[in-house]
Amino acid sequence: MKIFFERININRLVALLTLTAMSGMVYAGQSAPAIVQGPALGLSIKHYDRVMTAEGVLRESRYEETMLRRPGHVWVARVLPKFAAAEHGGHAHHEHGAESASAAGHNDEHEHKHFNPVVLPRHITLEGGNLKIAFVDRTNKELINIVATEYENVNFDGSWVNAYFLVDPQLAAAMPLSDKPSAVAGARWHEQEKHGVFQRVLWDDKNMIPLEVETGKRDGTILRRVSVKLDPRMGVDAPWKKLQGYAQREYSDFLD
Amino acid sequence: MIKRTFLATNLAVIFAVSFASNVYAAAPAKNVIFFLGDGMGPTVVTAARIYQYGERGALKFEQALERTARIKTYSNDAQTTDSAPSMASYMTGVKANNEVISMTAATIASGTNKPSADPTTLVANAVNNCAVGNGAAVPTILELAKANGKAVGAVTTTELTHATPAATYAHICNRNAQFHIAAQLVPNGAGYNTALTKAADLGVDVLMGGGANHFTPYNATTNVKGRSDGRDLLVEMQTPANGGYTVARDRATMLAAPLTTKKFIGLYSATSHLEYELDRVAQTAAGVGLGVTQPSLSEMTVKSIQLLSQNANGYFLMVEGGRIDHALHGTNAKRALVDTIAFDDAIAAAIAEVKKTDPTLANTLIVVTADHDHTMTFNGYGKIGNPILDINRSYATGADSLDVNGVNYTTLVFGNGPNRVNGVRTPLVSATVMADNYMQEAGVRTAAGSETHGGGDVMLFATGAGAQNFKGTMDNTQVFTILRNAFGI
Repeated sequence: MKIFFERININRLVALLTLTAMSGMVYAGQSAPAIVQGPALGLSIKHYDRVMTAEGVLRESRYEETMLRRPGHVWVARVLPKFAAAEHGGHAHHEHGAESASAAGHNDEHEHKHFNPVVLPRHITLEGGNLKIAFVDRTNKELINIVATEYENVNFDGSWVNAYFLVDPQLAAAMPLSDKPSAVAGARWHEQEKHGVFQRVLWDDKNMIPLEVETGKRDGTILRRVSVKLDPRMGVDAPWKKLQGYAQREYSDFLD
Repeated sequence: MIKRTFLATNLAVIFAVSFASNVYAAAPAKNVIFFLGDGMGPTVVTAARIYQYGERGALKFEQALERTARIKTYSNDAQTTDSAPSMASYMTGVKANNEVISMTAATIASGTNKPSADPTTLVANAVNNCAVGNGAAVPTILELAKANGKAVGAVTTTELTHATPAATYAHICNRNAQFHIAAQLVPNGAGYNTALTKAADLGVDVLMGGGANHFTPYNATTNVKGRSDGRDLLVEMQTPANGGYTVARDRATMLAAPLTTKKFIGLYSATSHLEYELDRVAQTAAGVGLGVTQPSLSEMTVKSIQLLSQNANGYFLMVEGGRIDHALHGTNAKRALVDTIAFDDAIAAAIAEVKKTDPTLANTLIVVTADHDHTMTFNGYGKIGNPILDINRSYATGADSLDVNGVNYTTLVFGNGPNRVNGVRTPLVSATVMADNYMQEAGVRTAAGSETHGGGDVMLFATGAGAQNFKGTMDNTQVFTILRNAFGI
């Protein structure tokens, strides 16, 4: 299981599913051709983790992201507090509610070069079968491109499907339907449990997106939840169309 | 009797010199090959040994290089150095500030001296902003060798203009001004380092590495990280009046270059560094693995020795295993260890090549060292034979070693790095931690690729002519003195 709590968690939901997969569950239909496109959406995504330690300490963490998806494009940005933008010398950006703030992911005032992809919007594209990911540093007007061998360094699993749908639609469909009632029209709960580890997905069939993903242990020691909300205000102006004049950088530029 | 007197006299002279100026006994090294494993600290050496040969085995260079020393690496202004001043200390004998390439100690890399982007092309670090009078160049061992009629070369798996190779042939206040560093290599061109000229013999004789973009003109579609000044340094260097370099852009061209080639520059990647060895040899997955086009470090090293050996006066060659450091910055121990093995193989290949003409290394000094450590460390009480990249398993029970919360952990971890769990760590499985891309956990969380260098001492290994002078705990600047004395220059 690979979950970096404080990292970028580009494919966090995939990691959640992996929790169950590692426990021995096998999904059907994985050999079918991958679905690569669904309805264009603007999303607000809340991540929540809760862990009870053997020492009786309850640890909780939360963070939020915004996501915009269009054919061939996924744009995800961490919602940052304004003080973070100030600390990094960055500028706050407000784009129709798409992002509350963005901060410079690297700080050239420090003599050592830093590249913190967690705080930079990421732009994932699929064009002609070619997958690309770049991080957008608005403060320094730079696009930091990541080659495949360096995906792990930015916690990206290289999957367009996971980036676009958060959970592979085929994996969601393969999960048994749950009796749990859904308050959202057109969305149904899928659920499974094995060896004390449960996994639940509230899948919106129309929009092809999970609205809730929960996984954890039945004994209550671990709970991870991702809540997704549709936000139609987002994406009036595609942010990737505003990158003219950005310099091209690479991950390796930040290694000394 | 005459012989005894002569010996006594010479000993007296040697001792007198030693006490007077801390100069070591001269040794008749015609050739010096300096191997630099970037970031290859003691734990990296140990882990690479176990990875490839087991606890009871040995790396090839550990077996072949019988002299050892411990090296202090601090720079003029930092407890923990970066590669620029540490390599420059080896090459010049002077400790400079972090980020400074082969300049005097007072040289300032920071503030307004940092390079900036070109306002038109927006290429980063295109403009050199080192102020006039901000420090002065200090001669490098490569330049001194050249001045004494020897052939000289620099080979790396990083960009050719990266800090370590640059410290052999360039002088600049900030390592990031790589376009200006490249220009220092071009005989008769603007920005050329004239210390690389010996009479009619222009420039560094053999150069190999990555990052052709620093040598070729900017193009908005085909070379977006190219030179903003529009110069094509490779075309300039090919001109007979400018050295008449043979230019290679791939492995096949390099291998095919005649051994009579006098000037050679090989740039085997369009941008950035050469591939990690793990990826270079990979033959699958589109976009991964450039083994067909990029030579191994061993191949580059042997070819360089063959080309440099044409010079009857001998040669100086620097060979860097540069991506060990990069994998460690990413806390990806596997690639670091595989690159260390490739570096080890290159050293063995070099020794084999040199011994064809110098079977006892009577005329050749070979040095292997690192410029600094990293924060990788070796955890737990693992049992003999447990894979070094794997989960730590107890020597007593064979069971997973556990942290205070009962969660297992890997043998190799880092002091800092991006993979730092906030709270309770999650259980690890072998398949995950042994995978190519696994990033080991860290104690202090840093940004991606920002695992820091370590300030601890590194090891130095040596063999051949003059190797006996490496011993004890030494400052990195003393290495320069030994190299110079070994050459007798």
